[in-house]
Amino acid sequence: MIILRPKKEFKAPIIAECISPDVFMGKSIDEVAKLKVYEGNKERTLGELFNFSYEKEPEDKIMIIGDVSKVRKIGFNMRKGEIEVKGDVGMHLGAEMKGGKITVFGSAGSWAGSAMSDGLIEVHGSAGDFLGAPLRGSTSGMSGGTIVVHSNVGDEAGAYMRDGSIRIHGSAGQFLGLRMRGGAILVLGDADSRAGAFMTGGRIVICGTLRSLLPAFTIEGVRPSIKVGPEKVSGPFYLFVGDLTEGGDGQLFVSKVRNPHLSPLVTKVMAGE
Amino acid sequence: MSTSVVQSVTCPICGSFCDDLELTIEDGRITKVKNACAMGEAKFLYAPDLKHRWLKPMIRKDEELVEASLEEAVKKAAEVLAEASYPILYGWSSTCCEAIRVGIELAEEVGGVIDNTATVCHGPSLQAVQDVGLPICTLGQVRHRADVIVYWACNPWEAHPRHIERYTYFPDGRFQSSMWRRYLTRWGMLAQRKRILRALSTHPYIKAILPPLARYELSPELFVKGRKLIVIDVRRTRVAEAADYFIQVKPGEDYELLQALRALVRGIELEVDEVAGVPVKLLEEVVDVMISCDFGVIFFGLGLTMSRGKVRNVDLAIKLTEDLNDRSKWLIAPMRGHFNVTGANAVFTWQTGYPFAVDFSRGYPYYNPGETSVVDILLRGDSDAALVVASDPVAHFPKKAVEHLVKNPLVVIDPSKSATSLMADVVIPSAFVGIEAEGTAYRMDFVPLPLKKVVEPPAGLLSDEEILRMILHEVRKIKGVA
Repeated sequence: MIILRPKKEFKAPIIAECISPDVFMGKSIDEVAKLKVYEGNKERTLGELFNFSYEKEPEDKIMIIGDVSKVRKIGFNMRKGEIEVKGDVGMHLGAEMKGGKITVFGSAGSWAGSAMSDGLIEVHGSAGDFLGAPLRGSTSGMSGGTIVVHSNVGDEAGAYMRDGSIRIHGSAGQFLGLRMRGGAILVLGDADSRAGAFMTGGRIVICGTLRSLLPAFTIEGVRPSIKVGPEKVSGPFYLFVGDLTEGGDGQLFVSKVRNPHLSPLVTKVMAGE
Repeated sequence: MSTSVVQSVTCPICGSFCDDLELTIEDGRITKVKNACAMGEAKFLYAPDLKHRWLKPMIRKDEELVEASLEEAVKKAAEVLAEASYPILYGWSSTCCEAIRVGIELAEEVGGVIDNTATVCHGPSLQAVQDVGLPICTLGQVRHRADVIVYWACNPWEAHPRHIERYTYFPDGRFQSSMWRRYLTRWGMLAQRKRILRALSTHPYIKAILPPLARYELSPELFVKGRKLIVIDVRRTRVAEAADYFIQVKPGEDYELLQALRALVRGIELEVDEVAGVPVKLLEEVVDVMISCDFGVIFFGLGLTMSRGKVRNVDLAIKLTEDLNDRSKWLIAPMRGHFNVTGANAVFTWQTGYPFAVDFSRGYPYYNPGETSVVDILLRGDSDAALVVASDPVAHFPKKAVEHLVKNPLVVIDPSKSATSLMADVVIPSAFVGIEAEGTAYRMDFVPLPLKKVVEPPAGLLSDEEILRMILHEVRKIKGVA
């Protein structure tokens, strides 16, 4: 295990795609210290920015102790091994990740788990916007793996998601599951408006309050409980289907008890049927 | 006394970029402006006034701005930029394309982030365009053919005063006629009705049975023929007064309204009676007008791009246009603010591949708004120097962003004494492009037009392009590549 500690408080953003077990594996500390990173527009070596220490077991683990909220792309394209961060971490954590595990005991920046296809990211603090969502212009979102966030997340979590699962213990921002095609998002807290915009498949489960429902969703019924991955979440839940403007059949489960503002609409439509 | 008249002058103010101005010049000063709106006239007549301008380059020494030579100021600016590890280069929308081109070269040379004012304006539109495309046309097409015009979340009456008069509702096009007469008739009828109702309401009995006077709407059925104007906004603006249909949307709920319209256009029945404070009945009526027209166009403003939902609002508006095209011919166009913000996007795109927020810190262009956009960089406190060209971020950015901007070395190239230039460490005054210097700019519909030089600049002032070239040369000297 290689332990990294930042030498100073960073100011300019640091792009450190090399902080990944795949890159570190089989390298000595000296070799790791020579890996290239960018600090703003200046090319530096990892050794100029971090202090290193080494522990024998486990071999494929990287631990970062300290605030690395300016360090971006940690665990980029990672395939195996483990990264543990004790502190806040910057943008693009575990972007395009294909396996392994990242644990953060702090908060993560935006685009955490961006377009990941396998592996596990667990954030014990909050996460920024675009959790699991791809970069601008791309339509290939998360296609597998799991993201667990123990606090709140920002806007557009799970955008363009195709498979995999996201579990949010806190509340979620706007456009949860935007353009989602598959996979599952579970929010144990509240969700801001516009959840499921443009969704054509997959399921979103909101156990708290949904601020407002989009007009292009229609009520399908009430379900007593719902299965998200291996877990069974008990309800009752309203089941809405949408986004109808996209011809979609994504499922949006919203807690019945916590959303009394939706009941007049549901009653009206159900009575009409 | 020498008097001359210059015709077909372009107006360096708003995105409409009018090109039919006529200026009278007496003894090297503009004394009369014809055809311009109040904003354009004010700029030509009063902006070149020496009272509001820097006439000498300034450098901050011991907390005071003191006069310096141009060489000294350029050298200092180049040092600041060349030494920085994450400089930002911001502004660009109020200068010419030639200057912007040099700016991008400079950004690449110093490894900085270059961003234009679209970042706080139509940036979300540009992102949405990348997601779903943009069916756009030139304003000439709109003038001659459009029979339904939608102004969504913008107020051209005040922000683009000649837009309605030149391109949309009031001009006589080849296939569409002017709606001036209808506008005046409407005003006359409304005034008449108001008078009658007021006279009637003096009688206590009639007053009691009359409905309240709050709504001065006239039924659109009164005006069956000709162009239709639909205005969607959070408040009743002057354009809304002129409109055939006005939809007052609840602030921040444009997304819901767009989605409802889209559902109706696609023939999906809505389960709700009201969306974003608007009755679905009214929406159905408006959708009928929209799908039965021959040529419709949606103009959208900052009410969509900078309210809740941002890029997704525009995204959905473009999708709505796509769906409308199944029924009729529809186009969509953003109402750009500065006269050359479209040019800034165009030059950025042909030089780097991206329209705004381009990061050169790793030597190649990288783009990710939210990460490389200037306001976010300033809020996170990443940057360590800044160059501001033809813009005033200190007056317009969030307070925290401004605090970080002025804490670090700040170089400003601007003709006038703006809030940003007063806080700067190096100020290099320039000539007003479009008045004292020539160049090229893009109208909001991506039509490039020339900017004219009509008067001489004050002695010693150079154009933005020349100043930037000097800084670039100096930076290359420092980096040892010149």
